[in-house]
Amino acid sequence: MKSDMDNREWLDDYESLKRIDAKNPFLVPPGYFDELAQHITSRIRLEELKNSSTGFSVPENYFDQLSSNIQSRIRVEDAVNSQDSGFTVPENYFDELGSNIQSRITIEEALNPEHQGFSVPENYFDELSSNIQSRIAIEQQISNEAESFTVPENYFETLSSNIQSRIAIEEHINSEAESFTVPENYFEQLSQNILNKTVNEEQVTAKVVTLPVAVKKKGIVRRMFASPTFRYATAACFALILGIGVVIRNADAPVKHDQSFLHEQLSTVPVDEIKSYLQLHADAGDTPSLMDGGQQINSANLDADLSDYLESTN
Amino acid sequence: MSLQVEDSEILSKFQDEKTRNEAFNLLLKKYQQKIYWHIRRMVVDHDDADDLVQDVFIKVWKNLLGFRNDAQLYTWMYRIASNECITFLNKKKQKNNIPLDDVAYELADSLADSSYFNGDQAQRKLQEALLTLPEKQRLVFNMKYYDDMKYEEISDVLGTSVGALKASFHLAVKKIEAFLLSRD
Repeated sequence: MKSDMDNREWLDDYESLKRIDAKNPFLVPPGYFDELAQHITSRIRLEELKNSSTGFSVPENYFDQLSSNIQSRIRVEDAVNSQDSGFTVPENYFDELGSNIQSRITIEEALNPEHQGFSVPENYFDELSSNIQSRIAIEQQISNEAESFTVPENYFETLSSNIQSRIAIEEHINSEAESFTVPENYFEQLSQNILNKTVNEEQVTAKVVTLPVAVKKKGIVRRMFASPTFRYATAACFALILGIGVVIRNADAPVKHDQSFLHEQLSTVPVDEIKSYLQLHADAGDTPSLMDGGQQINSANLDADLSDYLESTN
Repeated sequence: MSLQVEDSEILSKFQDEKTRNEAFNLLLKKYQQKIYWHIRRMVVDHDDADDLVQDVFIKVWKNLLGFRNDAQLYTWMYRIASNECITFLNKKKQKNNIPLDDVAYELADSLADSSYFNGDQAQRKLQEALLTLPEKQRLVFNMKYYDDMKYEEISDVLGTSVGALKASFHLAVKKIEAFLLSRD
């Protein structure tokens, strides 16, 4: 075999093939190649017309994106028309929505006719922040000044218990004061009793003066027997009784009590002192004895008591 | 053929839209027969060859603006023609659902019935022997035997190394020789 395969000498190794004429055995129709160029050119024109016969064109990469665009559109349509969105509106909601909104606007305008009329001073909102901060600073200053007054430590913790203790003490004092009682209508009758013993005495006859007063003040009389004053008083009383007896016997004219010694003596005693005396020395039996006009008064005891009292007050 | 224009002039005129048709006509006149015979020897039938040669030049028209000057123009067109031939034969096999050997017999029948075959008995035997070869070996043999192309040029057409082409050609020749000896 020859080394140079590009040379036609390689056929020498193949006798059978070498004997065959290497001429092209194929034929073409007459004038084929004369018309082939025209045929090819016509074919190319047809191909161009076929590709551009419609005259329509599409954007670049239109068909590459067409599939995805169609699928996206389908998903969007499904989402828009989906009945499973879960959101529903009342029947005829959208039909009535326009009129409802207009009605609402009308009502709002009627309720707030001056809504548009409100205004604020110029630069109000620009200065609002600083104004608020100034106000806060002032409030804090005031609060700090108020806090300059101090109270003892734990004052407010113990204040409640202190107030309660004070209230308890006050109640206890009041309850003790109220523990003393007087008979019913005591103070209403007291004034009348005193008047009966003093001012109204002139209206009472000598017989009206009752002994029970002396009897009731028996303890006091007993004490007086031992005193020298009682002796003098007793003598004065006897003298007085004798004098009165003489006067009564000698005069038929009615007795003028304002000329009597007792009356003169009593008239010099202040009413308040008499009231004090009666309050100190009167007891439960005084009233019925005063009211008992059938008994005669023990003048001697009365004078003695009066004398003792005058001495004690002087 | 003596008035053939250089490929560079054809390509230059084709770049200009005003002279594009003129350039393509020059290209057709220069290469139409080479491309036709390259196809005809593969598909045997003239009508099939005629369709394919038109398809090949339509593709050349569409893609010639993007042709790179680092390859020769005719080897580029041979590659297009070779691919079209192989595609056609594969479609024919798939269309008729027949094995490769049956395709060879069918091509041999069309060769026998063809009125456009002027070869003698020996040439007919040679064509029958070629039809027994695989398409790629037949391409290599035809370009070497009939077109007298160099291995480097065949390598540019088929995208196969020169060594592989030499082995393939050697194998094809041996098969043909054996076929011819068997029929003597």
